[in-house]
Amino acid sequence: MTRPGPAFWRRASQTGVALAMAGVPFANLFGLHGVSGNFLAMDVFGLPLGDPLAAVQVLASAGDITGRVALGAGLALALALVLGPVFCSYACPYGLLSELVHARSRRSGHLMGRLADTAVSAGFRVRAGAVLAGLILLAVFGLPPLLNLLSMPAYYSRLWQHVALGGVLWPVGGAVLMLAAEWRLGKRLWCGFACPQSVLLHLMARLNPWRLRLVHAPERCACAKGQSRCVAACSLGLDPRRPETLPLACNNCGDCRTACLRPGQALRFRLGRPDAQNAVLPGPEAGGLDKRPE
Amino acid sequence: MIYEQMLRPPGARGEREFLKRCIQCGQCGQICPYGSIVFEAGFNPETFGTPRIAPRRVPCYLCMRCPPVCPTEALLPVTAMARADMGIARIDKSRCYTYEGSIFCKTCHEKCPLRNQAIVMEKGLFPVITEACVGCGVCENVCPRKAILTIPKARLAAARDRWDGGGA
Repeated sequence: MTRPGPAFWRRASQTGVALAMAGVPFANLFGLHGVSGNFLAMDVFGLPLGDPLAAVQVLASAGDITGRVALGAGLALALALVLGPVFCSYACPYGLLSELVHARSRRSGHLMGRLADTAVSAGFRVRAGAVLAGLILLAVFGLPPLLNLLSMPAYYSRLWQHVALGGVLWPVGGAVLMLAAEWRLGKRLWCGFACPQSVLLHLMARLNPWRLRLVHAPERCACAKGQSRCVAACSLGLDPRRPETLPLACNNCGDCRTACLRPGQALRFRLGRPDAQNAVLPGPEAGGLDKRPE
Repeated sequence: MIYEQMLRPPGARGEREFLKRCIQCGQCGQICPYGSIVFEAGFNPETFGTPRIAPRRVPCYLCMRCPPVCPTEALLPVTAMARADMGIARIDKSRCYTYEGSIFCKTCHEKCPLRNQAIVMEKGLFPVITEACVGCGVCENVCPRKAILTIPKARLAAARDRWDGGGA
């Protein structure tokens, strides 16, 4: 029996989080309050966790935030600082749905090619621009945290809160339409071009030169010219062979690395500066390569 | 403005400040044992997803569990019922059975969580809502004639002007 690979564990993590967030409001109904809240702010057995953008919005609009909110947002940012925006790839329920829709779309023939570098950076600029404009508006006019209205993971968890407590969550219809558009176009539009919640996570990761990052060793690449399993595996349409284009878009899901495990193990995750890492990728004698291409 | 008509949970800050701080995490609704708190589902982006109480559906019973769980202190962490400060109730005397003289009804007085403080019986007969009322909405919910209206804190100034003409 083969051992489950990293893709299995990532999918298990996403599914587990999605199921847990669906179950929390119902557990609360039965008096179990160990976990409460949603992706905007939650309490996990006394430990606050929260969306950093929600916290920043309150800070911009109201001028201060509580220690609990700051701690919850700080923990999420600290995770991103070390591991990158892994919330997007290991926890976000919308990310899970979007990936499943993308896989389905691919099977239906709506093939997604690699995005141009300009499109990748444009996607980040759109998201960052929306965040910046939103925060300026909040600060100037003292508005409520309106960017929360664009939080897809929050809608997922709020949907279950509304089901449990009663109420209509009409924006879920918008999320369904977005998924339909992603299926039709074969592109993960929201995550790449619209999600404001991931902006702070990407920026935080970029701040840390010693973060977990994808490292590509071209000399190990065993794909034939014109063939690239890693690019085909990336649902965000990135080119993992060019790590310099990744920091503002890659969410460290590892699908490219999984696709590369057999052909040549040219892609690895490493903590530390990229320049120092290519030189220290372990060779076959150190267990770095378990199978060279045949 | 639509948001001015909403009855907020106990401890809520002034409406504008409340809206700035409420991040719609829903923890207040999840801790409420009575299901009193519902989330606004209208089309106003400023108030969408914020908690409110609909007294005629389920009023607030002032258990005071929701203020401490609010992570942003949009609900100030008050625990005393008398400090809930949600609004104030008003009796429409032209509809109240007792004032009308048809039936001696004191349901509102009997069910009030702040009985003899927020609602007192004048001359032992007529229910009168005092300034100690915090606007929980229990009286509005139990009134058989629907003669009581709970006015949210945000609307008090405007409402006082209107009720001064013939209110309780």
